[in-house]
Amino acid sequence: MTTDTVIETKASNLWGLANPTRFMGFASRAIPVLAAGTAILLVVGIYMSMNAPEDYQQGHTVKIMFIHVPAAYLAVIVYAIMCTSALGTLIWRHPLADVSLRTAAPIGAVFTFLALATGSLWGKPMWGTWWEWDARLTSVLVLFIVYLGLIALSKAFDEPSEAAWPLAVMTLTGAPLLPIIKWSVDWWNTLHQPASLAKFGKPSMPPDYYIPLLIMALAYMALFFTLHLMSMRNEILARRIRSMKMKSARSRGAC
Amino acid sequence: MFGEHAAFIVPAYAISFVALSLTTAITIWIYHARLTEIQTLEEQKHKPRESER
Repeated sequence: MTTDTVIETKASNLWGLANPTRFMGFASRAIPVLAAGTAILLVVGIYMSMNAPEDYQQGHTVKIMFIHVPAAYLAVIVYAIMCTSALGTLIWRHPLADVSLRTAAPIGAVFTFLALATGSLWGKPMWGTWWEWDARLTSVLVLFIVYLGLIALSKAFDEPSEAAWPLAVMTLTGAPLLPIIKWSVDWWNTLHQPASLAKFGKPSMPPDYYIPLLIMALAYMALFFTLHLMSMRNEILARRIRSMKMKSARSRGAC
Repeated sequence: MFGEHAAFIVPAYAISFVALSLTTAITIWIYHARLTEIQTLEEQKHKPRESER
């Protein structure tokens, strides 16, 4: 199979899912598999996190890392997925791109909130403060506010299709936040520590911490994809309800 | 199990558990609510209206 054929096949698969009935079929098959994977990863990840040894500097508080770092990763990854969906709306006009964008925002907001809350609970015993206006913390707070703004914008229109274009443009406007969050700890002198999982492509911590962290990150990722597919399915159902109501109102008007 | 910092570790895990469980529960609840609404609308579509009886 040539590269062109592979690309064409992948593209046709993606467009095949543009059909809501086909997408619903795909979602109903994928959700149970993803949910089971999430549950297994969470159980293993939490068990390993609870049994991780005490850190010589941080003591038991190192256990907060196993839920804080994955939440922070997801806060950024979800926004990156939303930017891709925004491009899908603006460039390729894929019918599901807008559904993907608007349903990812609340889930991204939850992960960002968790990154901020667990970070604060980790910061107090380690830094002696709940909050510090340093570059990493402030940029993540701004990301949280952007998420809330996008959720508000998506609810501001009666007709969902009218919100698609402004929502996509506003999402892309917030895209520069991602490199700022990623490299804020390198560009500025911050209280926040540098990259946790890897430095120069090598693990920056012993396997006792690295493996549970990796498993928890995978668990959070699987949870996001499960919730995202479920929310997309909900949004498609909401649009179906709306169209059924409009059809019924039109037929009543014709009588 | 959590030593002297249990007052920070336990709330961190509790907040994560509550937030993620609530998000999942709300998503599942919305799904069932919408399925019920579609079912109701389908039934209404096939039911003759008062004026047609």
